[in-house]
Amino acid sequence: MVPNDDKISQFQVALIVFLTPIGVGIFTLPSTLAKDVETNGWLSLILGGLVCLLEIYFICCIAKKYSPAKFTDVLKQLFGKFLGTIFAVIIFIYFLIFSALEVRLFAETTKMYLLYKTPLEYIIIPFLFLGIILARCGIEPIARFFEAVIYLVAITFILVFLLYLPKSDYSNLLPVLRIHPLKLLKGVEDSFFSFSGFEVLLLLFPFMRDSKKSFKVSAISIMLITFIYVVIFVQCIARFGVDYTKTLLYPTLSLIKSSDVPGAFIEGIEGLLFSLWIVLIFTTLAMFIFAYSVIAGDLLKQKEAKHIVILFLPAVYIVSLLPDNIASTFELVDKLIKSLGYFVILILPTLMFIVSKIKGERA
Amino acid sequence: MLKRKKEVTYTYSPSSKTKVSKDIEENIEIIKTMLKDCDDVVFREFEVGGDGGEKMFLFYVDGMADKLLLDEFVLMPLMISSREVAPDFNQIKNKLYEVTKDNAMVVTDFKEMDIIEDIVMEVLSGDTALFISNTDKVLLIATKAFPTRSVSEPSAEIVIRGPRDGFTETIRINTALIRRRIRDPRFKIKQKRIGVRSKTDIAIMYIEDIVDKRVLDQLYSKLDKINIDAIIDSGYIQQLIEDKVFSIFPQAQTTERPDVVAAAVYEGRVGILVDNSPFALIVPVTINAFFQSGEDYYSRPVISTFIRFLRIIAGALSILAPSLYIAITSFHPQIIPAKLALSIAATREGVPFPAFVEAIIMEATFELLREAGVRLPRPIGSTIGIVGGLVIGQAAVAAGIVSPIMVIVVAITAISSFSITNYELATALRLLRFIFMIAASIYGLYGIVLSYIGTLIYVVNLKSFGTPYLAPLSPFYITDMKDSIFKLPLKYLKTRPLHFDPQDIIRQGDEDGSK
Repeated sequence: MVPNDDKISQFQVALIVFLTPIGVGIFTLPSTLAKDVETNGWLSLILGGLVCLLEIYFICCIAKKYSPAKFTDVLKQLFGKFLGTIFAVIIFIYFLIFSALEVRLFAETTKMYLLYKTPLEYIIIPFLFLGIILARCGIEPIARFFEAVIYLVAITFILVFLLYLPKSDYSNLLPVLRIHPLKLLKGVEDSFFSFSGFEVLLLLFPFMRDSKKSFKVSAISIMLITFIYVVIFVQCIARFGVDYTKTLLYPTLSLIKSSDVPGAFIEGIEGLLFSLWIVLIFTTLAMFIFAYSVIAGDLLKQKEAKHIVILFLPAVYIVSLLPDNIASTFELVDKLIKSLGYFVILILPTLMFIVSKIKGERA
Repeated sequence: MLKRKKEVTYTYSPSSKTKVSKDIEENIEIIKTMLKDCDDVVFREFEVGGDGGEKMFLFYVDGMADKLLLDEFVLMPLMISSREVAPDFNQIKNKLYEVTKDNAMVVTDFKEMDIIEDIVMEVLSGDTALFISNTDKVLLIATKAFPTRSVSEPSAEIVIRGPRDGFTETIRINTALIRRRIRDPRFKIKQKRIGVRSKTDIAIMYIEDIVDKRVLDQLYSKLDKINIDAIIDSGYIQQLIEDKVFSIFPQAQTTERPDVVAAAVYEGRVGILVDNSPFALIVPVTINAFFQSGEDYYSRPVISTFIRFLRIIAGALSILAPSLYIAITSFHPQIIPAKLALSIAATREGVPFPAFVEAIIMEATFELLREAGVRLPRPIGSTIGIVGGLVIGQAAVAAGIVSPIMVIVVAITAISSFSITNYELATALRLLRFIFMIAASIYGLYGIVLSYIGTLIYVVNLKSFGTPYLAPLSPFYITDMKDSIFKLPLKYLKTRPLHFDPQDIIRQGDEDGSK
């Protein structure tokens, strides 16, 4: 019998930090990096991962001080009632819009690789519906769901890593470090935002049974993600070369498509792997939906987040259908990352950390 | 001697408690009123001490009590032997009850009782009540001996290596089968009677210092709430103690094997036996138990691990095979090699239905065959094999209704679903298969993934007596991995499964005898 207190263990925290960032972003990541930093993508990925670790360190420091207070209460304590509420609203909007865009990008990819003729709406609706069902169960079932899918996720990654890639040329990765540091910074920025999703950690602290090791476990998760991203990036460049990678829409899926399964029983492995990947995208979506409903629940002073989840469903659905096509979706994602994303995952934790330090010294 | 007959007005109600009267005639009258028209009850009035002796009265249910025992060891000493030996009857006339109890009856097991309703209750379960004149106590002699089936090999859970005994319909035999495996005074068998009319015996079995007390409390509170007229089988209890009654997943494990129950009790779980049912219940249960067989523990660990993997793959196949067929043939033929895709398309050329209809036809036929095979009398059971194999399989292909590949898919599904050890789970997966097929016919592979996610969300929220259904996989217990998907050698199974939260976790001490 497990205590029924709606609390999660440290292992579950690690899984949430690991599974939430990995979503649709990974499909486009190699081409974005190739465009900005050419062969130095792997370096910028590692640097991005380090920045991410720093942010997680900030988050954990704040949490240690204020735990187990709710996130919105912490915001109000740090920045005052008015400013804190505004920040909370911004984070709420961030999670809402990103869950919508995640769904849209996912639907577009599904249409491209699996269901050529099905309209987007029919792809989006059941997916959102399942996301809502999971999110309204509460954090503990979500965490257990993450644990239950990890086996399938592990199989997915093992399959991706074991792919036999004919004609890979690792000398494509050269030259190294022949780049202006400012340009490299652009790559670090791209890389850093590919980790977006780890910020749900901000909200998790009130739900933890014991939060002592949360920095350690989240750091391990981030390092694992960095490793996966680097492997995929390196494989893409080795297989296609920088110039060709730049032109690909979904280089990761093209990479899988170009692989060769010896003694093939399966030929079009990218469809199969993408289907497995849907589970990974689903975890991101469910966590984002949960995140915005927790914040909305706190703002609206609701004890149960269950009904809030459904309340904002139409908003998510409408936002997900706003962009006209896939290109404008990417444009919108880019715009939002440059505005909301910067604030929520880079500036806010840092700001919170600094303010809490100042306030702590005063007290 | 003329006795004044007392007027007795008596109506039975289960809650009333009538004291045994000193007047034996009154008692006889009450009991005969109560058991009027119960023609299987035998009443015997007799006198002790020869002519002019004291009156005694016994009654029992014919067929449920041991007549031989009553004749030779109760009536014989009371009526005959007592007259042949000293002391004389007149000397002990006034302490007849004590003498009968302590000196006359040659039986080991009896109790004293003084509430008529309780006495009748016990007699109806096979005991015999002995009334003695001028006494307000009754001797209840344990004479239970009713027709029982002998212990035989369970038909639903067959093992190659392992004990061959299975539960019978008699709770006493069943508890004995378990007790033989657990000779520990801390192993408790608590009995309860449930059912307002049936008064069925329920035995709750656990080891006091291992079991999770919260599970036990929860079980008792659920059992206490049951207010039903009759419990016919353990299935009744199972349905009445489960939280989610509409769920297709069983929240209590059923088994016919005493070794499985004993092993579960040693793990800190609770076994429930119900009289008249050869199926024991075990709570809490997790998905783990459904892919394990008792045999895994008796044979070589590496092989057991291999077989467990096989079962998990079989479970996945039995759900996925037809839906993958539908998804690939109607949505994603590019996934399989072009040659294979072409040959499937060629065999499907004459088939007039879409893949979904084809699959539904064949799966429904298979389900029908299976159901018919269970119901058929044994001598003509093999007919089903011929009808199923030849007529449906081959003829359906020849007639161009289904493609040969579909027949293979159905065969794989069938074989896979039979290799799942738990019958109830196998049935649940059968139902899931149809949900997956419908989803695959709408969305292809995406539909399969959607139904996978949906099923998982459901199962993750399911709990059996507070234990998450997917434990130890989710929540993850690393130490329990030694005996879940994997099966390590017994030497390394030093602790009990932690996900059942046992009080005493150590099951195997160190070699020097310490814990």
